[in-house]
Amino acid sequence: MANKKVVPIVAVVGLLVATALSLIFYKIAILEFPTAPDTESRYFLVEAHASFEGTGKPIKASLFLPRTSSRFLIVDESFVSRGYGLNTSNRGQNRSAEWTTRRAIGTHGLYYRALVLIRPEGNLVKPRDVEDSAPVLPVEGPEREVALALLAEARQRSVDTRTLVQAVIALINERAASGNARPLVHRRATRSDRLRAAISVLELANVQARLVQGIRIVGEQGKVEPSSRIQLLAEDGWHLVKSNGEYDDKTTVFLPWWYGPDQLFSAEGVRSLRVSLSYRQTEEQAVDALLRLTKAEKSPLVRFSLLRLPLELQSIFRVLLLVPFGALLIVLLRNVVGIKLPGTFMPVLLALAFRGTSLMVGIMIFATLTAIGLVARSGLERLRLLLLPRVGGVLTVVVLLMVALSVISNELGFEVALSVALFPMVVITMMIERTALMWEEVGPKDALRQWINGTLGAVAVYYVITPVSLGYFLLLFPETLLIVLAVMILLGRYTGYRLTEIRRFRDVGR
Amino acid sequence: MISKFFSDINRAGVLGMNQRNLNYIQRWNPREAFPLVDDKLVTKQLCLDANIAVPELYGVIAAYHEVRDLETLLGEHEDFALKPAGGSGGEGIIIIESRQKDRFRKPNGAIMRRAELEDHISQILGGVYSLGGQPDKVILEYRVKFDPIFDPVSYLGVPDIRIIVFLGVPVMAMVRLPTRQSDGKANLHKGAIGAGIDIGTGITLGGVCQNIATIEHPDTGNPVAGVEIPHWERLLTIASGCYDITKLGYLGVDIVLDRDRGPLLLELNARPGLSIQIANNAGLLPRLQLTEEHLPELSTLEKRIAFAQEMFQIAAP
Repeated sequence: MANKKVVPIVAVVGLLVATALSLIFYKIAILEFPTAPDTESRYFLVEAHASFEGTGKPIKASLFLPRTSSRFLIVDESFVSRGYGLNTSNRGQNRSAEWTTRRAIGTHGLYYRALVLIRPEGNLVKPRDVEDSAPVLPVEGPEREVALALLAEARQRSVDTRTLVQAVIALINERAASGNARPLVHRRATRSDRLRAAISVLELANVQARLVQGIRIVGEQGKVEPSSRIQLLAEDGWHLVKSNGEYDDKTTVFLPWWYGPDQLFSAEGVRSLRVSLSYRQTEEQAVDALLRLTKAEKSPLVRFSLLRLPLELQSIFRVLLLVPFGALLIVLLRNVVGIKLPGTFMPVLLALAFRGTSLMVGIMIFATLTAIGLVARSGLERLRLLLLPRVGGVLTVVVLLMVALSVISNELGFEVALSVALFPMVVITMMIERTALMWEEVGPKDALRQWINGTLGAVAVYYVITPVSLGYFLLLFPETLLIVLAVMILLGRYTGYRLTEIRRFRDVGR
Repeated sequence: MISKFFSDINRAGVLGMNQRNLNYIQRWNPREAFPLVDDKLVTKQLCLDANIAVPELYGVIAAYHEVRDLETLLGEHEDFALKPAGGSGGEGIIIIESRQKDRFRKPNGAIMRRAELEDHISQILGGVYSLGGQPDKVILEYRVKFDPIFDPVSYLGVPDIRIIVFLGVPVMAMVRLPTRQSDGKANLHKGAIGAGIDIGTGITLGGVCQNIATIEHPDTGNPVAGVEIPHWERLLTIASGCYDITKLGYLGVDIVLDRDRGPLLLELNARPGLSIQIANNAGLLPRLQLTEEHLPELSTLEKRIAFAQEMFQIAAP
């Protein structure tokens, strides 16, 4: 209004944009937010399950737990152990869970589940840590003699640490097979036993090595036995080594679980113990986990972010955050280009429906609904009804059509058309009413053009709100909407011509 | 680059939709004044109070059951106009030339059954033609017998005169001439001719039909330009006076010329369209700006009209 004080919009717009940009900058540069979704990473649900029978005595069970690293990120973990006291603790390099219960009979099951994010670009090399030293595996007596002999032979075959490791592993494997390394390694020694022996030999050569046990993750799911590997200590930290002595820092298939020769699960007072490990890939989105890697996990900006919401809510917000972009496009089309579109933001609602169905199917459903709706409306009109009951009748017909379309397409196996329920029926009803009125008053040509304009507007909005990367960006940086708001404000004060006005008024003044 | 695009219509001083909305309607039309013009019944009363002639009101139908009283409301009147009180752009209007029992005859000779008419009334009441679909009322009023002055240049319907009034100054005017294509309706969208009017003299300038310059009326073949509108000064006075009664700074005033009763105010529009610039082959902006510059001198209605006639007169050819 003329007498109301007009706030200088430059100030408002500047403030909005500056706030948004500085927040985004702070998040990217200081908090190290990722800017794009991580498509390389995969989520696995890893499960350890121990089952046993109680003997009536108190039970004390212990399970090693994997530790998070930047390549294998434990996003979430849970324990299922009814009737047990649970305590997790760090023991040296290992983390473990202790379950205790006073008296137990019958069959029992203990579960540990972890949601693990595997990131190819994460760092596997463990930084060198004072506490993180290898447990000494001392060998004495006759074993030491064998070990020393092995070491001497390995030294002859090698030139440096890498080749020494290779030689020791090779020698132990050879000797174990032939039984020539007793009592250090027995003929029936497991791979874990042999690696443990190799570590003992290397220790004599002052090469710091340790045994790491974990699971191999190959394919989308599987049941696995723990397998053993050797890690070597170098200047920059612990490296996983292959049997040829080379570093294996790139692996994404071996999830380290615990260190040392102990069993994964140990329990007192039980019998018929069975332990199994399994994994399966899940379809979680990798964004929230990425945030956990940022420097400032405790920063309020991270803690109060949308990414802390449940995943279903996040996927809703990924769409909602895009709606203002759709609205912005509509504003541009109407006020700057000058295209006549039905409804205020009707194409946005339609585009949201298209998003649920896929574009072509969505357009087809929309066309079907309006076409049949128009026929139904003209039928109802012949009955001479009051306006509101007539519109209500059309709405009812639209809903019935949606039901029919869903049921029929379900029966025929067209899954795509099932999402017809996403269509905003009130919007469609109003579209039918508007089209019919225009049809009567201005003619079918204009009515059809209006309908086409609306649909094209929806298609344009669809393309704006569909890109997944934009959705992710907004989820991480919702303050981007402040910029959208600023643009809206600027457009709200745009008094220039609309593009279509060039044509409309082209002859004026000639 | 964009300014180059727009330079042609910019040079002509064309007022665009965005600028009209923000700098004229939003700035000069107070929100509380809108209801005065959005309901034709309110406008009618306002005009009567201010001694501005309007078509005589026969009756109002506000609820469907009142349709029974149609004959009572019409009384002796054989002919009438039926309008939605909240309609705009001439939509939903039905003109009845004569009636006999349940048969109503339109000017083009078509007969409307009473049931059809009742159905139309029910649609109006439901809000089909009103802003935002609000429930509406039906106005029954005097059917304008248009002045024979327009006989050579109109087809069937009633030509009406639209005057844009800015801060009480009539800045631009046109007459909308019905054609066969527009079905006798004075609606530019539907193919009526819009012919600019020289504010200074009240003589029509060239016309435009569907955005194309039109010299002759397509149905009668007579030239559109050069028609002198009678009572021109009275028309300007009525238009200018509408600013005083509504306080709407940017206003569209629609007036018809009745054969017997002279100029009658049909309706006021707080969001008048921009096509008048095409009909006048001139942009509104220079006139609006000139008016704003001279605002201090325009204290009375007489001064405003004198100013308009002097400033906006097209030089005699």
